[in-house]
Amino acid sequence: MVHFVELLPAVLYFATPLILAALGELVVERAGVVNIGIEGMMLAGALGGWAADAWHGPFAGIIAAIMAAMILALPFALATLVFAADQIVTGTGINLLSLGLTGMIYKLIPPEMANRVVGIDVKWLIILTPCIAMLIWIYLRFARAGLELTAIGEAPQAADTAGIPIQRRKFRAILFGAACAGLAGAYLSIMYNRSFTENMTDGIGFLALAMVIFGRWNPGGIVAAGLFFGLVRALANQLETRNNFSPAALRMFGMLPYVVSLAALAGVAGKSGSPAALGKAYQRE
Amino acid sequence: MGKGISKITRVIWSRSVLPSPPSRRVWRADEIKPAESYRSWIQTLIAATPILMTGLAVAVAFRASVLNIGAEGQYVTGAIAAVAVGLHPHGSAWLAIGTLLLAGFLAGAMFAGVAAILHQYRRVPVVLSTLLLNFVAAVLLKALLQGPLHEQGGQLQSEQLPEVAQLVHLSLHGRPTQLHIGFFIAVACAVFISALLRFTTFGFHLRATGQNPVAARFAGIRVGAISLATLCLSGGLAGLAGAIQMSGVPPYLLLPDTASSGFGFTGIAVALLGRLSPMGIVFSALFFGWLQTAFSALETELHVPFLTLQATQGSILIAILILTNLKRFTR
Repeated sequence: MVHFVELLPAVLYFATPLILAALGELVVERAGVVNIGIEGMMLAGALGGWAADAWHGPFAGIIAAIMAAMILALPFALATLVFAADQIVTGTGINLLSLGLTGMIYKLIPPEMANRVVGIDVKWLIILTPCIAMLIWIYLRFARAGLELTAIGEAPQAADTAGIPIQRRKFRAILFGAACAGLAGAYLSIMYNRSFTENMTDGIGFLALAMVIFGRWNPGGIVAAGLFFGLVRALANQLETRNNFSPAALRMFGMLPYVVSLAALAGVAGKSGSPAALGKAYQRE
Repeated sequence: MGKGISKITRVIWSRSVLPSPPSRRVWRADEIKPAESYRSWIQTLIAATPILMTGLAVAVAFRASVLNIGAEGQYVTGAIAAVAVGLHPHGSAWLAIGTLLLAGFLAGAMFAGVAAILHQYRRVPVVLSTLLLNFVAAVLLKALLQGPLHEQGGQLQSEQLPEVAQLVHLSLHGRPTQLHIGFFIAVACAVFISALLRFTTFGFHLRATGQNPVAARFAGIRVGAISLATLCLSGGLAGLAGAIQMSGVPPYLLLPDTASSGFGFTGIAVALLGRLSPMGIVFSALFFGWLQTAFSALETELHVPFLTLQATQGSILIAILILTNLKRFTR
């Protein structure tokens, strides 16, 4: 039998990057923008954080991770906000770009750099994440700018009439989402692992997208959903280390997070209250 | 810097633009020319085949406003089914290849069908379900390679497809080349899809659904059913891409790498550069196929990492998105 208390650290380890990335995506989606490029931005954050940590210590690593993800957010914002391009397709382009660029740059970095990575203890980000969730909740619930952000996602025309600078606010939200994704990427490359591998995010960004729906566009819901997915992932890992299964069956447990998230989406997606103008580019008449 | 650029240009020119790599040997008139001639053009056609199919898959779905981002996963399931069926051929080569291709198509269609049903009955966004199913397909491939499809030798790969289940290769000057008939199957698919969209009721309903679902519903079109069928068709095309690639390109077997081919995502760039029109996609697939040939030449000659290709594809995709919307400013 699996002991749940023993699983708790593993749950937190897996849940933290998911929750962090999903919180960033939440803010972006509240402003009516779907950012599928979150996966690529995480990957950029992971490489940027790892390389800068090796070069100038963990603090530089954190800054570089956030910067790297934000730089990748610039073409996304340019295409979706200024040119009103399809957000989903643009996000896919960002993912492709990031996968290629990070793999390319990683090959250029001398391998002995890896030994110089200092890293940070995971506990700091595990403590920080619920705080960020709390702040986002307060911001969206009580701050004027936060309420205006929700208005932009629900009724952009009304918000525009009320004099809210829509594109600027959306741009800021995208940058914030990218920063969260970058931090989540840094968690993977300098906190949880202290190494970088090609495509190391392995779908965490996409799971975060699912969690925003599962958490019903609320910070509290996202934290709960993140912990649940962390539990699923930890259980899958626990099962994978058992030796009473054949190797093929063990592999199948790796499918669990994705299958569970699809099942969870099937359960809640129909009744969810997504921002009314989600995924639509806003243009004045 | 200038020297580097001239070197890169020379490699791209001689290895992917010229029909065959320059040879020091002069061939006598009575000698049979080796299969080497037109090698770089043939490479381009081979590289264009799978992305032409995935490009079509993506375009069909996008035309109906169904955002299928899962061509990657559908490609993998198609490849798995094709190999599983092709390893045990019955009867003639025609029958073996026919069942293999059909298996690939059906597997891709069924895999996309999961996403379609989730959307139809549970309102799960297609974007998300197809994205997540990509990972399911990748895990499935790895599990099958360790289990039922594992090669006897111990390598993490499947058995090789028998010769009857391999696609016919074209010959040039009496010598077989690497070019398989899969490219022509893909072009035939493009013609078929073009006709389907233009001349059939289904195609009309599909386009109407994509352009204005509300108006389509008022016109009596069953929008839900059309979206479901479109997603299945799209998945089937991507699955067929996997089947063609397995039976057409050496080493004719499943590798763990099959799951990270990137053809599904390249297909999105191909479809958009072809402006979602099947005939446009043939040309844009040729362009992206040429790009791949050029970058693999750069990798072997100058050790440029192959991932540069993906970065280039991503930048091209974003550039297309920006350029096609540029008219907003010139108006």
